[in-house]
Amino acid sequence: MRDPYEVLGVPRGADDDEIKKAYRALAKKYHPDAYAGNPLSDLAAEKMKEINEAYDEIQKSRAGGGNSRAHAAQNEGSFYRIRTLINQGRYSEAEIYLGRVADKTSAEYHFLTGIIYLHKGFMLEGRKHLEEACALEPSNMEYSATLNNLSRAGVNMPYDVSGNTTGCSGCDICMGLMCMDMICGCLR
Amino acid sequence: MFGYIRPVQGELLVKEYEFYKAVYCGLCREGGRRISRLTRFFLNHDFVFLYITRIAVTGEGVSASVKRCPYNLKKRCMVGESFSLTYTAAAFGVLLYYKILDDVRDSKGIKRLFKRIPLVFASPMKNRAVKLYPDLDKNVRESLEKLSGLESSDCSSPDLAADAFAGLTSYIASYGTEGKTKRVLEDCGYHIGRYVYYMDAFEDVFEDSYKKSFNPLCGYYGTPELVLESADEIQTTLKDSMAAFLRAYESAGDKSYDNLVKNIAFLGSKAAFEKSLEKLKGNHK
Repeated sequence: MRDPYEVLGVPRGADDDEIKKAYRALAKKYHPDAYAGNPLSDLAAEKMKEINEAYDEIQKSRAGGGNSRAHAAQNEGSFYRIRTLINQGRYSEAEIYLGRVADKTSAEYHFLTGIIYLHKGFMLEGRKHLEEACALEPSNMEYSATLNNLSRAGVNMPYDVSGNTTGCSGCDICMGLMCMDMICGCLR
Repeated sequence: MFGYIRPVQGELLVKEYEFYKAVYCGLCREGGRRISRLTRFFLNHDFVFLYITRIAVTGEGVSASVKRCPYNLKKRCMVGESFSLTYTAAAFGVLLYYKILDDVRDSKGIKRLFKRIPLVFASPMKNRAVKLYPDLDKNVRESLEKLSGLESSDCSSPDLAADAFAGLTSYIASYGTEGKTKRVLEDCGYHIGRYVYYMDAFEDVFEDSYKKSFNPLCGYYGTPELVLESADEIQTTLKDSMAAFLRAYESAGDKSYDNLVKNIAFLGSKAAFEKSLEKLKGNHK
């Protein structure tokens, strides 16, 4: 296993807060929700596992204890099987089973169809199905999170690309003060 | 490939922009030297992006040197010969050949005769590329045949038509790699291809409608005016593609040229769509 500090990108002397911050940033970046429907979701899951193990390792070595994570998902009816197949990466089989589903108007049907389309790279169709699922069940957090993460690259952009030019930044204040000083100097 | 994706220069560091130019010049020179001089005249930015994505994910070493450009009096910095550079130039040569061939097939009468002229130069170009990478031609031809089959059957799903072209770029991007790198490059290449195909269809929507030729967006939305009205939806799907590209790129782990790749994928793609939209709106008025 790689050095857990290296995995989290923190120095060995980092305090607990720094480690927690680094862990949270990486967990957010590689969270399965951000890769839903992405063919590389298993690589992201692998990375996530590595991050979790590194964090657990550091916690264990520092506190002499350990913690574990348990994930459970419960679903009912025929959609459960399709979800299992999707989680196993067997998308073509999942698509076949989805074609046999009788209830093609439910939110879950649209959600799973959307996930399969996204995996194939059919982003236009995939998004439409996800939007339909969200419209049918607006309170479902899973559906809305997947839809929200679709356009989000989940990566840190190297530049400020917010395009916000209307605010007053520190530079604007400095510039204002310098201009005022120049004007006052001329009037003296 | 049509040269849509290019960086937003204002948001790049000088050294990053210089590197981008060196890649363009290196690819142009390598194409002229190993494939055909014809590639030098038609080289586009999409292939530069493909090359940069490839070397960023594979971590392939890059050398650069200052050389004189025969088409420019100035000496220019160019990246040196490498597997990815020669291969990208060869892939461009093969695609260019099929583009010229497609143009010949689409035209009629005297125009067809004129369009056959470049084929005299394009055939040796393809042969030279195929000699270097024998399996390249078969895969490119199959993908393009699949695409023209969908186009001739008036495919109403732009995603399905884009998938055929994206499959081709996915193959080109990941050629000669294996394992995790191959999967990442396949995904990156797929979304570059999808973006390019959608952009081309969007930009040509009025022209295709006038010529009564196939346009996947017209087939889906109905008329060119409705396509223009649905510009937001098209922009969203392109944004989704580039987000998927960046997620795939990010999953590669250790990689170089981060700023440049993200600049092109995030800012460059957005700027290219906005430019096309402005142009279409202007032409429509």
